[in-house]
Amino acid sequence: MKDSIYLAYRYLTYNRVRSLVLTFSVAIIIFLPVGLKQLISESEDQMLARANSTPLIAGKKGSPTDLVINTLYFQQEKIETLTMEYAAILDETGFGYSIPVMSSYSARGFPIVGTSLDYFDFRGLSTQVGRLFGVVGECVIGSNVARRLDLHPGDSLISSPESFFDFAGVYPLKMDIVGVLNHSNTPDDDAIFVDVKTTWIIMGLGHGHQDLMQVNDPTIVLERSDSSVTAGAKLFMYNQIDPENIDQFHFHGDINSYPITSIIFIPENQKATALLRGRIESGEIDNQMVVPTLVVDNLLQSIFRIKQIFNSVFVIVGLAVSLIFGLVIALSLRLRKDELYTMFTIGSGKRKIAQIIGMELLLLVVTSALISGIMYFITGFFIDEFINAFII
Amino acid sequence: MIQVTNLKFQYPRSTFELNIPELQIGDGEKVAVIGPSGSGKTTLLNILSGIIVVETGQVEFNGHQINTMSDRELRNLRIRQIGFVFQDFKLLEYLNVYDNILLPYRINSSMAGVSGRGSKAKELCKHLGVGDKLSKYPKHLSHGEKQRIAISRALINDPPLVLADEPTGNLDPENKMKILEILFKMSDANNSTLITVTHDHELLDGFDRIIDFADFQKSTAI
Repeated sequence: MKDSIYLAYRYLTYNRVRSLVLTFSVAIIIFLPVGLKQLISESEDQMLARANSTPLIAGKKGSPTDLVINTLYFQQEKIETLTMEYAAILDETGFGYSIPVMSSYSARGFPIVGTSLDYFDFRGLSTQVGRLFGVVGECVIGSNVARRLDLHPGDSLISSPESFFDFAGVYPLKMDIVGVLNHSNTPDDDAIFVDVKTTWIIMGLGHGHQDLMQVNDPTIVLERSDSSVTAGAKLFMYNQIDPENIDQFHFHGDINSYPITSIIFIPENQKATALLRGRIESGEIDNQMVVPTLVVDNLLQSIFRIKQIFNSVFVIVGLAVSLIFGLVIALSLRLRKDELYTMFTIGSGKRKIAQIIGMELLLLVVTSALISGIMYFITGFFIDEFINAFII
Repeated sequence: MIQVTNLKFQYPRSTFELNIPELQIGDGEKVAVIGPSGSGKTTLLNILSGIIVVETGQVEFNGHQINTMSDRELRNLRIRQIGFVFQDFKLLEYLNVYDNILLPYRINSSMAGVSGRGSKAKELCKHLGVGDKLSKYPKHLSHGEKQRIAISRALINDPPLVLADEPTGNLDPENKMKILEILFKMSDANNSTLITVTHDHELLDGFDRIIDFADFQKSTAI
């Protein structure tokens, strides 16, 4: 046996290019279905874990999937907003408490999530350095944001304008980073968290500018009366909130009418969930409220159907590769006829020759399996990054 | 000693028939087999080594009836008692010189556990003037060197019988003489029987006996 392994090894290493091509072809065929299964299972687990940890999500009537995906993964889909007042209505039911989520803007490719401090308690998030935001204009960033953008507390981030061509639009807001969250292997690692009021400032619903009572320049103050002051475009608007100008920031209108993309609602118990959903379904309370687990489950059913199609494709590809593999072996044996006959002439048995050939195949398959195992391991190692980057 | 009696052999669907009424070759004898192409010279070597098993006649080698032996016995006979030298060397391209010489030990389990084979291979190579080629692969060797390696492989077990099928067929005149000298020298040193099929009539001088297959075609006993 030892000699057969040695001869097989010598043959494979001498014909290393052919052996490598065969080995990697087989490795990929072994790895693809297993790797895909691993990827889908892990995605399912992560998606379900995120969904399971979020009892209820309320939002404007529309696609429940868009609502859940936006709230759980901060995908920047433009979904219809509901008003902040709705959070108060839900709170008044006494069935639990609401956490507002406003996720429509981004900074340097990462979503800006406006919320309340309850969000961090609810998700079990804490800072690895710095602290959580305290006032408007401050932000706390996820660990991946900090790593990829090399940001630390004391640095700042500027919100990305919605459109480069909207010159009349809102100025970007420069936000002070006050903390970096611990790594949680969730979409929270890739988000920038601010107070929900900060997102309203980014939207332009709140702003800060020179104190008009102190300004006498007629090119700035166009009209002044006892009840109001009208300023021109020359008025200096602050694009960063700091202790000196924070008092100049203000909101116009009723904050309860300001928009949020969704509300995470944490009911006190199962009964509260049932009662609240009953009220919403009966139309007593407007808008929609969904159970994320059910929505994600539904989504996963679709993925599962795609997986089944993939599995069928892999079976066919595997079969085709096996046939090609068999053909390559048959052709190789034909080319090696002279060599094998020499072995027979010198004194080898047919069984021994078959053992040597079998050992070559075994070494190929074992090496392929090892390579696919390594690929599986590597996939497992980077699976979270992969899932976050490409799937959710 | 080799004793062939009343041997008749015909390949399927062939009109050629090898007919040897009687042939004796003694221990340590150096025999050249000559004859026209297709006269059965290589067939005789295959019969003597048990690769072709004849049904008519008797083939005896050192007291063994070759044509009644089992496959396993024939394999063990070939690996232990017969050394083969081919015209086209038949070295395995993926093995270096050292591994090619030791091939007989690796392809038959009855040879496992034989000690001193490595030093024997080195000694043979050194003796044949290719001692510095042990780590080389066949593609890096000249024809003369390849045949010396093939002879080393044939002699690694000190076989009492060496069958050489046109061992000089692919060599230049200078190397032809050298290779034959090596075969004669090794045969003398081991007292092994050497049966060489050849077309080179100018090389026949050193042989003890010449068997012309043209005679067998006329069914002449030698």
